[in-house]
Amino acid sequence: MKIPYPVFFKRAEDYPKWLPAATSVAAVLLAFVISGVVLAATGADPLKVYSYFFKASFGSWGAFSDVVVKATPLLLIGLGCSLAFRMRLWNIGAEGQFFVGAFMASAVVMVPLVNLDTTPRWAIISLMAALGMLGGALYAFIPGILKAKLNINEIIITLMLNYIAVLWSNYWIFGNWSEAGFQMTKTFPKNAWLPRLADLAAEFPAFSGMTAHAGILFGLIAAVIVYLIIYRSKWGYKITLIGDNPRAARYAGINITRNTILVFMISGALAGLAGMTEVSGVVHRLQERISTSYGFSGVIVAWLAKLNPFAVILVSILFGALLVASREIQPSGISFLIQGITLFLIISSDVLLKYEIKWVRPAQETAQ
Amino acid sequence: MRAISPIKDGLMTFTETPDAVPAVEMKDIVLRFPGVLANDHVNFTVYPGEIHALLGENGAGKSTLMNVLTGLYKPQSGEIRIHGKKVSFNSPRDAIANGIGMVHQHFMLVENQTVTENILIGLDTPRFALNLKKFDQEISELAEQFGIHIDPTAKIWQLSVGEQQRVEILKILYRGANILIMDEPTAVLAPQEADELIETLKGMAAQGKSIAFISHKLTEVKQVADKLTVLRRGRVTAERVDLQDFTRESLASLMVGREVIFNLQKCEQTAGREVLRLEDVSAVNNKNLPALRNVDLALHEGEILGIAGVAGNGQSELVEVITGLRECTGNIWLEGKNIANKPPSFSISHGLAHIPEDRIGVGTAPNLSLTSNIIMKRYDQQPVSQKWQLNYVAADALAGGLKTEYDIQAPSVQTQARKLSGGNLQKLILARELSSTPHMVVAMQPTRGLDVGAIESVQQLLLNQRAQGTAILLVSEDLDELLSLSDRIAVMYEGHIVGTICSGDFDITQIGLMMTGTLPQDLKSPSYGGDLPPSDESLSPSAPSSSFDEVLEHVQQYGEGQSSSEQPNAEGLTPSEESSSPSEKLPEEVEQHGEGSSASEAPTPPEDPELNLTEKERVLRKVLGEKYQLGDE
Repeated sequence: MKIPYPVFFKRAEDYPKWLPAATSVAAVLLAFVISGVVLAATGADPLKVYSYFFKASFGSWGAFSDVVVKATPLLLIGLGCSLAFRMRLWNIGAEGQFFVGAFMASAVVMVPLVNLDTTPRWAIISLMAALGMLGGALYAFIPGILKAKLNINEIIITLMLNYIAVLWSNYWIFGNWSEAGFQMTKTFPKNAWLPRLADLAAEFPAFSGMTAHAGILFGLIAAVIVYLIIYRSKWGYKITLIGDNPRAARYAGINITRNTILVFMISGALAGLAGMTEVSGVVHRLQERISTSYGFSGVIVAWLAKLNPFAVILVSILFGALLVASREIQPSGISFLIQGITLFLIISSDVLLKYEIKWVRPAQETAQ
Repeated sequence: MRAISPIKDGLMTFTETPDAVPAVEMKDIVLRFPGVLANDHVNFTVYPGEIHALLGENGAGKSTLMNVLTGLYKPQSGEIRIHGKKVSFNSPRDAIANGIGMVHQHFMLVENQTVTENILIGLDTPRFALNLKKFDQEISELAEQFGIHIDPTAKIWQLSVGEQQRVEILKILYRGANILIMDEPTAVLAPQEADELIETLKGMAAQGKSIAFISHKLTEVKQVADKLTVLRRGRVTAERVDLQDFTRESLASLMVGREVIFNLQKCEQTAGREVLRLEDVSAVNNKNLPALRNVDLALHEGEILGIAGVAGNGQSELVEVITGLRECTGNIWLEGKNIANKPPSFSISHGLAHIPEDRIGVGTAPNLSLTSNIIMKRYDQQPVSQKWQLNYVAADALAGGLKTEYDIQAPSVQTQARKLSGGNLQKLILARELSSTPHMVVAMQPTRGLDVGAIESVQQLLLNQRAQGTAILLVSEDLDELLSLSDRIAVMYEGHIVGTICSGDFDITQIGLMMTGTLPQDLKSPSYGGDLPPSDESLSPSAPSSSFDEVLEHVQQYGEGQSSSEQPNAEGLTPSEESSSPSEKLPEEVEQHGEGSSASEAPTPPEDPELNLTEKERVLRKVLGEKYQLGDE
């Protein structure tokens, strides 16, 4: 039997600049269509669900503020992963680095490292942010040096370190730092809280009740910095070169060992900062469930954004919206379903960039 | 049927074709890619039992034409007949069904599986249960039939490149192919392996298989093929001509479309002060075995020092220790600074340029732009570097200038390096390395795999550097290249420098002997010519007899194959021998050479009582190939 129109995948040499964006948008739209079919099959009206979805996350400033809260850690972690992935360093240990960052930030309050009553708020917060970043960076130093010096697979190491970090943090909240036997620390004093929009409610009544905190500013500043590193700096050139061909980079005189460790540490520092913003800006204490696997979602965010720092901002907000909406919709699995389908389609849309698809007509023998 | 080759210079060739039906007949094939006419009314005919060479520069349309024949591309017009039957291929599967198989340059084998398993992959039988033993047997019978030596139970990773290629050939033979397309099969092979392959191909042709042999190596084509078709820019410039009618020069001009100067512009100059000195340098290879043993070398301004040697005798390691890519013991002085065990950045900043052997794997970042590849070693210098920033405008300007200066054919400086052809990739590397006005250049195999036109320009660029006073270390397996470019040649064998010869004393016989491990002091007379040293002293004690025997074993076949083709080839080759010999500029050397060669003729009749002498001579034939034959006449 012959297929009337055989389909060929031909490796595409080049594609127009707008194509990646177009395929990504098309993939998201198609994901909604497919999810709609699933929703319809369960008896729901997909359009209604979507409109509710939209309302739950973008319907009001208050809702959007919640989205920003969820997007903040995703943004920071996504940026860290983008940088590491550029160099083909598969850091999937953001979850662990996040917890170590949260732990170090909490230590400022819990030990306490400074006098919480007399030290000004900005100083406490700065110290918490600095220690959070340091914690994440040092935790990422471990896989970094193992990879650079001994060429040990960073995927396994970072994955395993995630569990250690979570258990380490549990040790403290179950033990020394436990508040009255609950698995959480005491609430931090207000001096250690990141400023929220709600804090400005006195001057701007519209902000009352809004939980978005200053962490998003860290995220936006980090996005600009990561952008400058990747696209403007000499260091970014080196990272890209190592990522594309490490042997060529070594031949060109670039120190791969040092850059591997450095990129790992910066990636970890951003995840650690995300942990700090979560304890200082959202829950105001260290507790067991501070992360709804932000560390892993951040990997996906970086990937969907094609490692572009500004695209990371958009994608993390989209993911934040899905997380917020999942609270409002029953069963909450629906939003994860949409997430999964979107991810699947965006990743498979890459085939459109790499290949031209051709239909060959076998009618040419007669048409000479 | 008569075919006429449209050649401008009057070298028309009328070729009587046998009465048989052609195995392959491609007529008026036209294939157009966007912007390129890859095949412009191309005719290509191969008869059963024939080895037909398809010659052309990179990008001439050879591979495209063969991809049409294997069903990968569909031509816009033209017809294909296989054994007289008109066919139309929609996929490679159709071509295989018609008995057409292609051995690609890059093998498609599964490393962890055995030869038999690799051959069976993708076939419908056996469908479920696999009785490997039965198929092992079948495959060794098939191999035996075509004189291919292979162990069907060996795993692919255990095989050498040459053996892997034999697996690929068996794979298509097992599928019943009687038309074999070999895409530059010798590009990946060592000289001995290449000779073995050629023997195998000749054997298969004798059994009625048709072979299309794609190549751009002129000497090799002369060695293997019966008939020849030449392509230039998608057009046929010679169709089904006999090889005897052509010299290397006339073939080259058919390929390139202009006269190729095999004589390079090399000015006479004396070497200046010392730039590089290696003192007692030793190093191990990737398997932790000694690869360099107590190497001493010196290199001066305006001098090209050639490193000769059979591949794998420490040349790669030598280049790597000098460029800082490999650890070593001993001292390496570059401009008075010890660069041994210093990182590559150190020697780069002291004016060391490196043209690596592996252009794609080491020399470039394939997915990055031409600009990014050009600035690889100077992103830290003005004007590309601007404090912490990289000035992409300046970088593009720099790359654009070099693109024009070095004639790199690419749509723009934003083009990814992997889209460049081999020759353009090498020009890109040369542009990067030479434009930095280096004190010293280390060039490893700078012309390997390039076509004639590109080889010429690469060699000329190296000579221009020499004229500017740069010290150049040139590692090459191409003796012709070494002889015509070098001021001195150092011969490497098993990690030693066996000896160094100055350009006035260049003698191909002596170099050949040294490449097999003979020490120069064991070669008796000071002006060696082609003199054969006495048998008992000829082998240095350090040369292990095993490897010598290995060469010999192979050479025996070589000698037999060679003697038959000697007569018809001789005339065509004479000019090339003259032009590629460095002795042209040194009349007294010509005399020496001539004397030596005639002297060597006398003591080597086949019934020579001293067997060693004959063996020695055979080694020479092996190493020196046709040149030695010519020396005999």
